Amino acid sequence: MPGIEVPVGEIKHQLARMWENTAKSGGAAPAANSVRATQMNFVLHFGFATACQDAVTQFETVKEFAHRYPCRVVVLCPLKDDGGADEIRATVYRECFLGKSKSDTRCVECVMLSYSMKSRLFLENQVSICLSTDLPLYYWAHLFSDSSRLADYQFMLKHAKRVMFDPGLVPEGGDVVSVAATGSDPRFGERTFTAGAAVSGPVSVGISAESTGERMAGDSYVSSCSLRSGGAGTVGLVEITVGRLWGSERFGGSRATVRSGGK
Amino acid sequence: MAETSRHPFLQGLSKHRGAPPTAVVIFGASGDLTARKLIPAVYNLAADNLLPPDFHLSGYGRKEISNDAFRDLAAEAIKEFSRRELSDDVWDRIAAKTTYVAGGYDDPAAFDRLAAHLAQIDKEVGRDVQPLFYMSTPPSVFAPILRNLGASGLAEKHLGTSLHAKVIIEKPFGRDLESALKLNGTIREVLQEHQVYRIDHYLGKETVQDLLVQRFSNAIFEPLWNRNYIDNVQITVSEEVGVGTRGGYYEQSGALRDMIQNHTMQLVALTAMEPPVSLDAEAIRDEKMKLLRAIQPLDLGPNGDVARAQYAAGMIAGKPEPGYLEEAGIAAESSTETYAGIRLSINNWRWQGVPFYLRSGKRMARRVTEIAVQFKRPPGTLFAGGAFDLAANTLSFQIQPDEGLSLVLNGKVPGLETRTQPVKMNFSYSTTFGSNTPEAYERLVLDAMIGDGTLFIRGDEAETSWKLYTPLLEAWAEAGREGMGSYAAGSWGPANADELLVAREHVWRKP
Repeated sequence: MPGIEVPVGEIKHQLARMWENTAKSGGAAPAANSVRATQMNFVLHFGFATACQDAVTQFETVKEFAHRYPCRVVVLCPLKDDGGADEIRATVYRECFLGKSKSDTRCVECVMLSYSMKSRLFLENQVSICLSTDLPLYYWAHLFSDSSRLADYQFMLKHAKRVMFDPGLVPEGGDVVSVAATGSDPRFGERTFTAGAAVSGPVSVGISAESTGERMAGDSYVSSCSLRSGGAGTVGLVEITVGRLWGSERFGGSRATVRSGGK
Repeated sequence: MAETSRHPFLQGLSKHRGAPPTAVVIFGASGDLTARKLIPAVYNLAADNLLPPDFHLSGYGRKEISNDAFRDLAAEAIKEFSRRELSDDVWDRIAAKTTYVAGGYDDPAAFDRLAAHLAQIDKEVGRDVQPLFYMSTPPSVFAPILRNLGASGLAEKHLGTSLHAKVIIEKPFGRDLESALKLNGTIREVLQEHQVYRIDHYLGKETVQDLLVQRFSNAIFEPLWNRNYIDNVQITVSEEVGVGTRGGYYEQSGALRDMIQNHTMQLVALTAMEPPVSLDAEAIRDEKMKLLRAIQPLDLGPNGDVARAQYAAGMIAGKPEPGYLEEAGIAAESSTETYAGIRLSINNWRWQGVPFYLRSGKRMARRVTEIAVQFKRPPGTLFAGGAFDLAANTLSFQIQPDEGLSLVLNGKVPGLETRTQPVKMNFSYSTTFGSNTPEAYERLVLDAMIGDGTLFIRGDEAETSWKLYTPLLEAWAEAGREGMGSYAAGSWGPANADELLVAREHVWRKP
């Protein structure tokens, strides 16, 4: 992954310094201390199954997305061999995309947080201070095959405007996701979950989705979704394709289908 | 000299209203606050040519040190803590009139020496010099200092003139209602209220002052500033640091005493008060008082208006951090809260039914002080449904760091179809005005020299705030650890504080 490693507490200052250095060397950079134009927050969360080359590919996808839609990007990478460490590491990266005019210049900052298994419970706190307050959060979970790990990220699951589970390489028949103990939060229905077919039914405790290996042409997605537990707060899952979510444009690399919750 | 050295464009724009000849005496001259804030504030005022030509600085403390040694300490403090580099030109001007008086705070003879020292300054200057006493000491010595100022005649020096003695007092102004009343009683024995400047450095911050400007100089906000349009207000004063080496002090204090009762309540008052009739200090303080009196007593029962917690082990800046009970100097069974969350109800025409949520804590996710005013959602269903991503309009004042304000609006996403998305308008102080803005203490020390008490706390404000919180402090003291919540270091607070907002379907912000 590109960028330079910095202490987690220095993310903000280091990014400012990088922009300053870029500007000094004559490169495109936003004015010092100015707020970068952002439309949203975008968190790309790699699952353990993500290979290095795949991670780079997905990151390029996010950069392409940020080029079109300026956003605050946070990439989350689990450390596979953390040796029992209890830490979060940060890498920062910045880039300006030059358009035809000065006003068409888009500058994006990316923060990559690598975390050990022990530190995953504190990851969301660190993510929260990397995000731009008040802007919508889009959360893309890539290749999570162990649902219990995703259940550790309740803040992102509950507060994201859209959640995308990318099941492109999930093992056949594997459990894609189950979000346990979400409760009957009325805002639950505003979020988005993967599934391959429209499902309606009561949801109060959580959702699980299973892959059957069936895929439609063009988009890859989980073909069935089962609701783990019934109760109050009926939520119907309505399919939204990537094209609908991001303005009828596919952005390369990932084959994903997104589904929207709605009452 | 000072006038002519200023850029002509700044004439009439600055706060250079001509401070009179002043001798500042700092009690607690070797203390941390003096080095970090007070000496650098004096230095920067000098650099900005805002000090009067006849300005004298005297340190007072128990340590027996020479004038030169004190000057060296002051110069080191400027090098380490000032927002500007130490310039010999500026420092030499101050150093020539910087002295030190050694003495105990309960030593009448030492105060007589101080009085003689100030009389000598009057003589050298050839006219009356205003004495300004800064009590940068632990509260335990407030009373003896005040009594000795009275006994030595210093409290009455030049009384009846504009150069009368003034006293700046640092918080805490008591630790409950009883002690606040006692302190105010001691103060009133030797000083008149107009001589007293109770300092809350938050009020010296640019963004806090900007709150008044935004509210009362822009026609677009004030008509909406009421229960008809505002859904809730959240005030966050969070710190990333733990108790550090101040465990002993913090055990006697806690988040409620340390932050909520003073700083946060001042922010509430400025956010919610009625428009004052003028910018006169008393007019503003009167409105703050009316607002504080309208706050309803707290419901201390289960599912009531309060929550408290201590930080547990967690992670900050990517590194593990211990819990409060593992910190040095903290009792294993400590019942001191490091987090306090409060839901206030203000019973007046403007605010009835609008919850004001306050929270303050140590070892939270980041250091931030913010006032967020969330407006109600618009009526009707014109833009309703899945395609319309609407957020509640939120006006947030960021007091620190990154001073500024932002307004969340809903805008149309460019394209051939009508889709909406929240967008943010930002105003950043550092971008607009440069990052080298005055520190809060500079503004406040200058105000006290000029005799402007607008940004200081009046005695009855402190008492009214304690009146609200003393029953809570007593209830918590009685309960011990019962009801104490817990939150991971580096998080945004405990689950029991979330419960304060659930009834109205609100959630804490993560600024």
